[in-house]
Amino acid sequence: MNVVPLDPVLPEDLRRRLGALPDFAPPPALRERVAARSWNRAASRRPWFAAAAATLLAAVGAAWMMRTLPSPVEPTPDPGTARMALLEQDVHALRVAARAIPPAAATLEGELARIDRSLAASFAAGAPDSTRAALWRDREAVLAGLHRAYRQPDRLIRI
Amino acid sequence: MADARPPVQDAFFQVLEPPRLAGLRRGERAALAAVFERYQRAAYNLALRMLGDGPAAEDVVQDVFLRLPGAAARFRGEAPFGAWLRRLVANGCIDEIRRRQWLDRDAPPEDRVDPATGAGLAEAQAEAWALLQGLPPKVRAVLVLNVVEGWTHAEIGAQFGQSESWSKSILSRALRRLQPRDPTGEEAAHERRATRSGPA
Repeated sequence: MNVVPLDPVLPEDLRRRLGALPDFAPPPALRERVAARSWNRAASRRPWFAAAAATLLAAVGAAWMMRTLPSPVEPTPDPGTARMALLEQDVHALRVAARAIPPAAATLEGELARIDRSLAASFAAGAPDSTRAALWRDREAVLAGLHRAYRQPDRLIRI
Repeated sequence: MADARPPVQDAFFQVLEPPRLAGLRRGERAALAAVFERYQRAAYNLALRMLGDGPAAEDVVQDVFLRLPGAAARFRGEAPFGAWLRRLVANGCIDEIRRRQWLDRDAPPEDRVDPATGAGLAEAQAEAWALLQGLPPKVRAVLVLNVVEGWTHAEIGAQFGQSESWSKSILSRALRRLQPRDPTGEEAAHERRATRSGPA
């Protein structure tokens, strides 16, 4: 017979106590460490001979490249992603400006966190695009609901 | 030092603008610095909560951000950037627990450096922090991932190379440690109820 443990139940009191966990400022030296090592990494990938060769090649082919290659462009996000990014930016600005979280927004914030976890998990598990597409649609709907909830905190929100 | 900023969980939900992400993918130092500034606090606090040790948390954060340009090149936008980064940090912490050989420890490491020392925490904050600090590394990490970060037991088990049941039993152990002693025997009865015989 296999022993199957049930989900442990976290007492509400303990959940509340853990909700008070402190927030610490990272030590300033951490920023310096990351900055210094990122520079070192970049430098180590470019030894002097490679840099010299690249410079020579660039000098010889620069004119030809300027005439034959299109100018570099940023990858264009698909319309859904760009729309979502704008919506997300607006919601974030409203969050920052809000004096208190409206009740409708609190529920939706929880829903948004749940969808984000699902997206992250499906991403990590290599779930098919169709699964993620459904989650992205849900996410956009929740973001739109949040937008309304923060803008009109006294209204009931349906998504 | 603790302070009165908004909850760090919110910091992972900050938007990363597409040009910034593109710069990060190209390995631009300015983009990495900007991303670091935006997310370092959230990343550091997640690592600190999972590991309970300042230098270990710093190592994880440094490692995650140094690898970020390469990782971002593989990021296809399947999850919000912050949620994806949060996952990287949590996975980095699990790797750090393995690297430091903390998996089999049944007591908190004695030689850890506690950032809460002299931090002037409020009473409730100090109590919450002390709760975590009293747990062994593996137990603590599972508790934080499940209760604070919202991971399922299946996800936690998979990330540790274990089963879902393993994660549940670790969390049960954490709860036993965190609950006050129960003279009425209720706890023991709950323990018996919490394990049931399944199909062979």
